[in-house]
Amino acid sequence: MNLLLGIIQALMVLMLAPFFAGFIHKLKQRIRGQKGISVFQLYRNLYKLHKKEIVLSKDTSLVSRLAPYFYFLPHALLCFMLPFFYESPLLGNSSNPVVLLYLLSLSIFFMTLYALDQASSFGALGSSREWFISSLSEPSAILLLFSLCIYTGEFNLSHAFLTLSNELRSFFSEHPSRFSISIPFLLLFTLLILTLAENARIPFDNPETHLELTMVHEANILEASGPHLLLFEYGSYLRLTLFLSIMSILIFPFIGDSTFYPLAFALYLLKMLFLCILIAFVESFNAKMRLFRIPNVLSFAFVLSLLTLILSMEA
Amino acid sequence: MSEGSSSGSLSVFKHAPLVASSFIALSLLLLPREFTVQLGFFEAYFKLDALSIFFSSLLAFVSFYVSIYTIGYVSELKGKAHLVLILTGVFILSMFFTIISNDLISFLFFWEIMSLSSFYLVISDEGKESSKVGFIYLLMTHLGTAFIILSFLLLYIKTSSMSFDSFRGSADLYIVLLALLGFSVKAGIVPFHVWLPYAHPVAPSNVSALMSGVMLNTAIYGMMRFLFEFSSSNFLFTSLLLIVFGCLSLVYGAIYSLTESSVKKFLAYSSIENMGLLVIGMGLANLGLYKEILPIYSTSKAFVLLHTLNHSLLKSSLFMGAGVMVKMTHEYSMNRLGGLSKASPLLFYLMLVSSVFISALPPSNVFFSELLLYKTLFLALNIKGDPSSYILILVLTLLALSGVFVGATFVKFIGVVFLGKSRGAKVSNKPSVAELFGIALPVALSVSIGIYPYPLLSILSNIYSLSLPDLNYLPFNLLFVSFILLLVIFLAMRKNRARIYETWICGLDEENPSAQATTLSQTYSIRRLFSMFYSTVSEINFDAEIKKYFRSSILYKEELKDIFEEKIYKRLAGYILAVSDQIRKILQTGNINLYISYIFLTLLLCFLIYIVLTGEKP
Repeated sequence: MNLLLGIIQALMVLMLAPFFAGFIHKLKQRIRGQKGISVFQLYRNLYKLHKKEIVLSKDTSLVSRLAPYFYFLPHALLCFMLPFFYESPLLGNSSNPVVLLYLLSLSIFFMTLYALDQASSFGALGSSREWFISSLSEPSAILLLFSLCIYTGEFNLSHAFLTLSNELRSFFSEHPSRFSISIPFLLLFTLLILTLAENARIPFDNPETHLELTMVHEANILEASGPHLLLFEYGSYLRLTLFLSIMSILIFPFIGDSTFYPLAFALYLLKMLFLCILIAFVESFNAKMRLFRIPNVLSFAFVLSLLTLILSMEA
Repeated sequence: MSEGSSSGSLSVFKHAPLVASSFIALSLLLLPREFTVQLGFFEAYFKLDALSIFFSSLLAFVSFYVSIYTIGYVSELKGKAHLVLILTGVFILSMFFTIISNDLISFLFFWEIMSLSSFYLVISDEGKESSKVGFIYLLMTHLGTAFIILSFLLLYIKTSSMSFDSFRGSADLYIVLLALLGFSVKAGIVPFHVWLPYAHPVAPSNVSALMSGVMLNTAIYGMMRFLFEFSSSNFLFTSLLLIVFGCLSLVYGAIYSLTESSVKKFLAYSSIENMGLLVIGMGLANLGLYKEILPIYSTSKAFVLLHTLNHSLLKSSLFMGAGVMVKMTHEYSMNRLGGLSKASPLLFYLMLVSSVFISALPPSNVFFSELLLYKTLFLALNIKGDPSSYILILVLTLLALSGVFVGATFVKFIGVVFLGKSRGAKVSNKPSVAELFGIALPVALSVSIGIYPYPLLSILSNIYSLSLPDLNYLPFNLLFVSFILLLVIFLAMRKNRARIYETWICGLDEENPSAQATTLSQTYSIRRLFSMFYSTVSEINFDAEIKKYFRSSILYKEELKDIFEEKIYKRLAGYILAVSDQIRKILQTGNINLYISYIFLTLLLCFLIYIVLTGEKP
């Protein structure tokens, strides 16, 4: 039963990922005053890509055939690792912060290799910038996850989130335990910046332009087509969903057991929609930055995560 | 040297390293745990305890597959090839005897043999470059050896015995520090790393595989002996020192291997980075002992042992691969390579796996050992209200940062060397079976360790009686779920066909291989961001044409120099040379009368000293 519910949770997240991405896209278009796509448009796009043929460059090697899978797989695995709304995910035993970060790195590794495999200069630009942003966001990401772990005293992230959830419950009971507002708040703020940075969102990267030279994520997968592009796109939706889900747990860590399963799921959806609205507004009210102004924002995030870690060590 | 004659005369010699490594394997199996050898004027004590057995079996394995590789690589050896082969065997054996030595004389004797044989192997290329490199290598190695001898002499004075058994628990802080200084020169810890990026690339590839794979481990072995056996108590100061210098090496190695464009030099920098990791691990183990928290000690010691093993396997395989690349193309610079995946697919797959694994991406063995290190950091940070644990935040940050750099480095390496189109280097020959087999062995072992790390970990924890906490990482489960997911994807995509077409380059139909990534373009943004760590010289030359906007050629040159070498070593050398010049002007004027007076004065001085010391009249 536990296994089944864990698998269902992961499948829910896998199914909903394009919806969240589409929702953000639609909202952004509405804010701009456009009519906007349907929120289910991205599902249609994926279906269309699935029917198309794959076009490979004649300069490519095996990497181009492997990379899409290796970009998609880590994200899909992470969906099985974290307790988004149910307390025991399928791979909860191996959900430690290092695995999480290095799985994300693995996807970037193969995506950037894919970019270099095309023998074009656009891919090279994309891969170099991807690592540039990664080199700034990774340290703050590890500090962030570690501060969460140290605050709860658990090295396992799913247990850490459960501890947060129990804290919240005790807050509503008669005997509230110790409870920190500042640490989750700082974590949220840092995560928001990191979400924007890691998911090719507007202050850092704009995937909707028509200029490959200004893109980061999109320049990497410029040559992908058909099912390969499907895997890349789907992987990036999952990435966004994962980041938002971690944020959603931090906002209001209600993680249910098997009796509260539907309620927890409904709450998860609500929180995710709220976060999607937040992201859409943040994206709409900002302009894309110059590449070399990115370090300023990310170092701000780094300092915040450092502060969080110190706070959680003292807590 | 032509192919036919060389292979004829080398047919006997090319098995010399293999003989040496088989000898080591046999002696590990057959020798008693303790034995002495009478060598005329002194008795050499040898002892196989847990630590030396670990390091020597690692040496036996690494030297075994490197020897197999050497059989195929023989035609590439320059200079006196038979001498190189014999000395490789001597080098392997001397490392073995260094590791199992149990008294100071034999340790230093074999240590010195190891240094000298590797010195000859470094300069065996007989080029203009290699003599300078050999000088740097010899100088730095002996600087390290001098400190090691000093610490051993101090130990000898303290205990008045030569045997390692009597040194146990008798080394004071300054002795440990001297020894660590000496060994860190050998391990290439920043700021004593200058010789490493020169020596490893210049040596023949089989030798650089041994040097990076095993010789650096002997330094780690010596450090572990001093820290965990000879040290009289666990000093906080050594821990902090190790952690700080380890961090320095970690970041430094990572950041320079990222920008390096030479195929072998960047691997040398990567070795520096990994040695930094090991040193951090030892510092943490020492910290755990100092605070008497056993889990910290256990996990970090397990990390040091495992990471030593993993780094040896992968770094030697990468060095051997780099050797094959150089053999195929006779080209050291990545910026002229490219598209090698088509020339030798098997080599490409092996290098791809090695690169993914050494970048510590799951499910690799290096990932597992780094996970141990992160777990240690977590345990150490989890102690509330301890001021010394704040330095570990720095370690955590730098670990993540260097992890990204290593990833970027190996993406650059694979992407620029193997993927895309050739940038001008011609492939002249294919790798032989022996070479590929030698590279495949460590890669296969790494894969198996990566998938099943826990059996190995339990063996280690039994031998060293470590109590390891739960790591929250089950690679087999992850792989199982990924397999199911892959199955689903394949079933969904079984109908899709692939069509081969050209890469879209905005409608330009020119086949221009130079419009691809180079190491400089790949690392531009990171170099610009971390420019304070580099010492760069860049120049742009335009051809002298009147037409400003229609230049026929622009030459852009950028040189990255090692900042420690530029800012510290060169200045230091300059000062020393200037002072020496001044002294020479005063003392050596070329006047023979002055020299005779020197002799006379020296004689007088000796008489005076004699009179003062003995109180006799001569």
